[in-house]
Amino acid sequence: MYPLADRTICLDQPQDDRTHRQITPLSNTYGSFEPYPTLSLRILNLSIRTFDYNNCMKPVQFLSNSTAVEQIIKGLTLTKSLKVSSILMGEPFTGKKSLVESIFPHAAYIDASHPEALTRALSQQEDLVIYHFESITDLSRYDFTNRHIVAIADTIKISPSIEEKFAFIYHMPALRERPEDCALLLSYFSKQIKEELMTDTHYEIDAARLDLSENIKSFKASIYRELVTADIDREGLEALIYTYLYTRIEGNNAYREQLGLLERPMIKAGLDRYRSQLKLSSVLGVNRNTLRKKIHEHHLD
Amino acid sequence: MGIDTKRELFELAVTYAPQSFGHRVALMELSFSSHAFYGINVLYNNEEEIALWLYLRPRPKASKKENTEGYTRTDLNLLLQANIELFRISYTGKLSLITDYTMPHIQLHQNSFSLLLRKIFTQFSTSKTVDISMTIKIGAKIIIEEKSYPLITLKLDADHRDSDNDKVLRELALSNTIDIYFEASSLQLEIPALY
Repeated sequence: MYPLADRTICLDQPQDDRTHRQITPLSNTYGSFEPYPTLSLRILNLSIRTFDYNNCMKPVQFLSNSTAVEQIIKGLTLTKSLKVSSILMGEPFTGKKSLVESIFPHAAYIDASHPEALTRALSQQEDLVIYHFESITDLSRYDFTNRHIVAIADTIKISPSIEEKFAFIYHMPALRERPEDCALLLSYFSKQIKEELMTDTHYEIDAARLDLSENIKSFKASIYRELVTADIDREGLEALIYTYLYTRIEGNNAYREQLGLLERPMIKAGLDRYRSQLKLSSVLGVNRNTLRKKIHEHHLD
Repeated sequence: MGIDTKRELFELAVTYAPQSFGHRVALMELSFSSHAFYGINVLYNNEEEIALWLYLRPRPKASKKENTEGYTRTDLNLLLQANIELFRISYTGKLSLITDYTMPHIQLHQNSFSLLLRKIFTQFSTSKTVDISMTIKIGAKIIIEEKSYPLITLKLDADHRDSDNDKVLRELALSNTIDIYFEASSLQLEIPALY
């Protein structure tokens, strides 16, 4: 049912099957389980059996300091043993699925974008987590009676049919509404990414520069960007610009079109640093009027 | 029956008191929350004290077969707690709960009842305080298909209640075989303790 099932291995069974499998790290998304090391199990003399995702998942750690998220966790935990339907809605990439995985690691997970599989799962399972719930067009087709259902939907709009079907409706706040989580996640992802990049840079990331427009997705991407460029030297920067420009210099005005690539960040950085156009023009060695014209041209005023 | 009814009962006693010492019976329809009465008897034999008897109207027998499809054995306290937690996410006022944690598990349609509770709580979303109490109603029973079941009372009392969707709540309560009584700033559910 879960797409990574065939690549998931458990290490906690007694020795009864000497099957050799290569373990690959699982997806390292926010709050997901720790990656298994890539190594040969025969060397460690461990027996393994292959399980499906639902049976052998390591506990998922969900990181949050948010009161709103804590209340959602409390509510979902209280309804663990009840035959009720709950839905967790919110913008994409806010950690909804990771949160549910941390509370219900042994439930059956089904993708709602496969209607036949969902119908089959509903007839076989009493404890079900349905993700991509927003893809369901006809809710009346499904009977959730006497089942413990947790639905996850990438939407913030509640329709009347959802109101009637679900007793518990939770809204996962966007990352920009949880500044306490931004600080926590910045620390967590920075450490993780530094380990992946095998760097020990002490570069402190300015949280205000991070992109929260797509929640965890853009947040993590901007941390990567900050850390990758933190130690970049002139050669590295030139190589980056070269790669960028290689496919973009075309037409008959490419020089003027691409000049802003250098001018704009230079002027912006200078204005932020010196706070004065007069001072900046002196530093850059250009006429003040020329600088003013460039500021206007690049919409920095 | 509530603090407010004391004044009302006194006024009733004084209005229907006999002209001299003795008693007087008056037939009338009276109701205080879930208590319905069909008559009163006012008695006094001195100038200091007056007595008022209220004659309780028996609860009508439930004539149709109760639909218990989808009912499961439920810890009502757990269900209520879960709904309170959901309410607390958006509610910023003061909330208190008095309940009997030794209450037995009863047969209930968990999802449908939770839906009812969620809609009930939305009526109190603008109240400053909400007091919730859940107890077994002593001495009261409901007869369903010749079998007698105790009643559980769930009361929500607040400074303000939004009564716009009272009709919807009544229908939803009825579908769960629950009686619901509305007051200006409170409401009360009577839940048959089916087992």
